[in-house]
Amino acid sequence: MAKTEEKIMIKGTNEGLLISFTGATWKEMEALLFEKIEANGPFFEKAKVSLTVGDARIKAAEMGQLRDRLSQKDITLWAVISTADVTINSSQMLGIHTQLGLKKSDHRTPEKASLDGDAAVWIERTLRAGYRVETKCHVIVMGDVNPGAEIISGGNVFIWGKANGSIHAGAEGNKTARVFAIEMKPTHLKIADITAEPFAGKIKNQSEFACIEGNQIAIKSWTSRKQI
Amino acid sequence: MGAQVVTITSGKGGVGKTTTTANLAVALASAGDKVVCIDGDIGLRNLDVVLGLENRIVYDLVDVVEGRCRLRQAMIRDKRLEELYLIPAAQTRDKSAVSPSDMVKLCDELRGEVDWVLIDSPAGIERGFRNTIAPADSVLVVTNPEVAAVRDADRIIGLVEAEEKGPARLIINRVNHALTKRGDMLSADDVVELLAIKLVGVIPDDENVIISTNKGQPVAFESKSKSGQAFTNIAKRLKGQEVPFMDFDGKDDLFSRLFKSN
Repeated sequence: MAKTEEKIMIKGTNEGLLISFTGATWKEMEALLFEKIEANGPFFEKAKVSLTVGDARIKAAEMGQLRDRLSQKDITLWAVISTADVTINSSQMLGIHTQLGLKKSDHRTPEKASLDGDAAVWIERTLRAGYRVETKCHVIVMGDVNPGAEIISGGNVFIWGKANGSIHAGAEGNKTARVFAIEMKPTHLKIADITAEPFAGKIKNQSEFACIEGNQIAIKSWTSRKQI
Repeated sequence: MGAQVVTITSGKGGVGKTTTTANLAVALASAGDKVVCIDGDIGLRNLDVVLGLENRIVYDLVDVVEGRCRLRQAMIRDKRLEELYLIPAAQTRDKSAVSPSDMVKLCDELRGEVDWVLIDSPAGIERGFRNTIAPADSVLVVTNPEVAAVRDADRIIGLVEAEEKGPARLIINRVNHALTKRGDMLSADDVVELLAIKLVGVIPDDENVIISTNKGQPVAFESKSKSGQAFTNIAKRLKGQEVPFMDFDGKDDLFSRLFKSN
């Protein structure tokens, strides 16, 4: 019994229940979680649950199943926090949050302006409507960002495809962040705390990038990159 | 081997999921396959109306799931086509009466008995959608050439991928050739370019579809109408045949018919 207590820890936060697992496999986690839920039924009712799973690799279908099982018990799977890329990807695909309270960190001092050597999130598919990628890292998308998809990145955003969604680079206050795309026509574009004017013009048939110039966002063709 | 379970979904309502399900079922059954369609829209059932089987309902999907009847008893056999069956939705309950695992169990039971299980999904991305996606082997996404419908289709395709049921295939319904030609409507090509999935059918905007739907006599019964032909072609593509896409100009009609006949 003591061992169980070590593997699962439940904490109430203002964003719902934070459940942390240590040293358990995914199957064990599921079993432990439902054991807890069965034992403390009313406590979990209508709860918003976030799981911290360490480096466990969870596939989207598995996570989807858990979400379905939880929703049958009236529990919302709000976030799955992990350090494994597979798991982060799964969460993003299902529209489940991957971290808690990034928004609140807006007021913190921005991290080092230079982004040298920072990590990037690599996404090799098209981001469809409803997908939300939220990370402190750079974001690289090999594919399109469709209308209705959302990227919030602490660093730069690089899109090897069409940028048609909502894109926020330098979300933690980094004004030197940039957004690159082969076809730039985002529905919303924001760098640090500056929002771009809505795009009215025609799509230019060339790769472009967006950066802050003065106090607004400028869109420049890639060929004028000497000014970077 | 067993049956293929195909779910027809769209995200947005009113784009023609139910009509598509009914017509594909008729087209597949006309070709001699044994087909069961399941109305997944519990609480708002209407596949029975479109198929003209409303007055023959005794038991429904929820009765099967809750054990009030055997699966066989809830399967309504169509009198026009020997091999076509419908499992209707309950009218008095809601989506939470059935769980995704119930649907998986039910479809597994059907797998040994029929060639096709077609599931008509409700609009939306909530419980009802997940119920109908869970048992699917493949997914057909129906959309109209309208920005709002395409946006929802995009979201649905993403969700289908996330559930590892992908890649979904696309049916574009109610394409108005005249409007497209004038540039006043998205063309099928525009839709395919944005959604970037495999296209299995384009159905022309045809008033016969509305008339036949109201009569409970799906257009696929009459292979002469263009829309009926379009549904028959989709059924063939589902069965793995290569069928060229129709040209709605109507110019090469004779040519394409000659082509299809062999």
